Amino acid sequence: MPENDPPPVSGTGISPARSPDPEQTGWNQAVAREIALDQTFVNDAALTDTLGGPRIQLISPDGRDLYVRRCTKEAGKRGHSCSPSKLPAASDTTVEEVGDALFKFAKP
Amino acid sequence: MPCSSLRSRSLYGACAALSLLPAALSAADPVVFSTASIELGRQRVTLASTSKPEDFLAVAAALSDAANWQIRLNNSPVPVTEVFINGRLLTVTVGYDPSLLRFSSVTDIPKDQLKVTYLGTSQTLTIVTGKPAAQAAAAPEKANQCWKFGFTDDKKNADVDISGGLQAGVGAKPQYFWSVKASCPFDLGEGEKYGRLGPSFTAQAATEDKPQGNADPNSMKAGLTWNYIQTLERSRNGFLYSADLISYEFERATKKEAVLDAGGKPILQNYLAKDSNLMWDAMARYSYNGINRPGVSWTLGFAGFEAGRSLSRTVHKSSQSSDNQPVARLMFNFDIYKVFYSHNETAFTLHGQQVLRLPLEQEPFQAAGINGGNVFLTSKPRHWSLVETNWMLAKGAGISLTYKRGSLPPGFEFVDHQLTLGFSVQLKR
Repeated sequence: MPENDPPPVSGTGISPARSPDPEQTGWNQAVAREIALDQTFVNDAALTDTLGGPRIQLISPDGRDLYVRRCTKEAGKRGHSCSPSKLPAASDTTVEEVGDALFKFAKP
Repeated sequence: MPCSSLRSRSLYGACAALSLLPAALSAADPVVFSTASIELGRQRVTLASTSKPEDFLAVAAALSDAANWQIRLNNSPVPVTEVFINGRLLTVTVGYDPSLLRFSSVTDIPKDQLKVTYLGTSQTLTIVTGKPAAQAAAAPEKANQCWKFGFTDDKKNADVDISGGLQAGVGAKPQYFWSVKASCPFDLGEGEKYGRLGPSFTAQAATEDKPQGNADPNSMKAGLTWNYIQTLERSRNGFLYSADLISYEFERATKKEAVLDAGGKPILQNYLAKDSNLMWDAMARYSYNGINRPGVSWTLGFAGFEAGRSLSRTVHKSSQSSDNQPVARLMFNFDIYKVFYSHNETAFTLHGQQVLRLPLEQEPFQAAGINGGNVFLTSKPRHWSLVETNWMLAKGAGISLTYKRGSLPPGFEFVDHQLTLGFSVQLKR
């Protein structure tokens, strides 16, 4: 088991979320989704939130362009480069869709 | 107290689970996984769920039970050692005993032979392995992907945007119109390190059953466009740069001019007015995307220029020849977006745009009530205002309502309070 994963919470089996460490975290769907969540810069963002929705409020297309650019830049720092144009960035795109596209299209 | 304010990991997890417990108990849909991947170095398989959080958490206890998971290679079981689930990311990490999975690379594992099964729903996912899969994933894209399109809801980022509708302006006869925008940009460097570059094309035209009836002239612009996005550290704001390395802008409209007939009487006769420029332009913009109560974000184009020369012009100075008509303008623009929410959903978005062009050389201008409505050369500032909203009817198709006022290059024929109701289709590669 990876040494950097937090221990499960007794009785729930749920690992609390934490920011991935670029030095230690590998590359999988969880890391990609974590990046998509982190790069919204909204503390209580959830995977089901839409980019243009009331919680994340990336209203303008430019704002969403910057968001997917941040996501791919973060993935690139971890050695998994991806073209931002591959990621969906419509107003009703969910964070989950962005994270999954990031995993799908980034270099393995 | 929100769970996010807790510092302890244990308390955070317990709080998150308890807060979702009522929803979890009422959930009914079985949990579904979309993909599975393996990390040999960490001896783990990760599965991503596309289920709703409440459905996922409803079976948290079953998901975290190692007995509910099977990993098989060529139908031979690989012992599962432990399971972790992440309720926030809706993922499951399944640890395995590496003694039966001795490979140095994922590409060494036979293709389609490594599978993971969740016994709770009997869903089996094939983990992507093997050389063909890995090579396909790593293979560079074919050079020409321009003709592979799918529908998109994102109007601005659409590679093809086709619109048609009805437009009406003050002093202009209502008429049908069509417009098309197409581009085929390619990445410059890995991960768009140096931006994107590619051909772009925009055109619009309208029914022209009556001379001088155009609310907006027929026009076309074709060029080679470069875009680059610069993010800022720990910020939702950033800079966007764009440039047309070379572009050709063209505009035509049917006008009337007074001529003498065979009997010497003055009559009005139709003629075709054409204006075209060969241009080079660039713009730097700052985008603000803060979270705020009014739901507003904006982009300011703070440094822009357009330069080139006129290739054909309806009116020009007597001293100018066709190859001596320079064009140079400073350009600034401002875009503001306002979103209206209803029941935590986006009801619709308003987009306003103001563009200011400051010509450094005299250029054509035409507006009703000025100079008798005739074209004349001037270096007066040119404004362009636009307010638009777009309702998506289905993915990639929507209805738009647009208000326009001002003048656009190269002809700068003034459009006064024009309303456009249109239907559009957007495609993206």
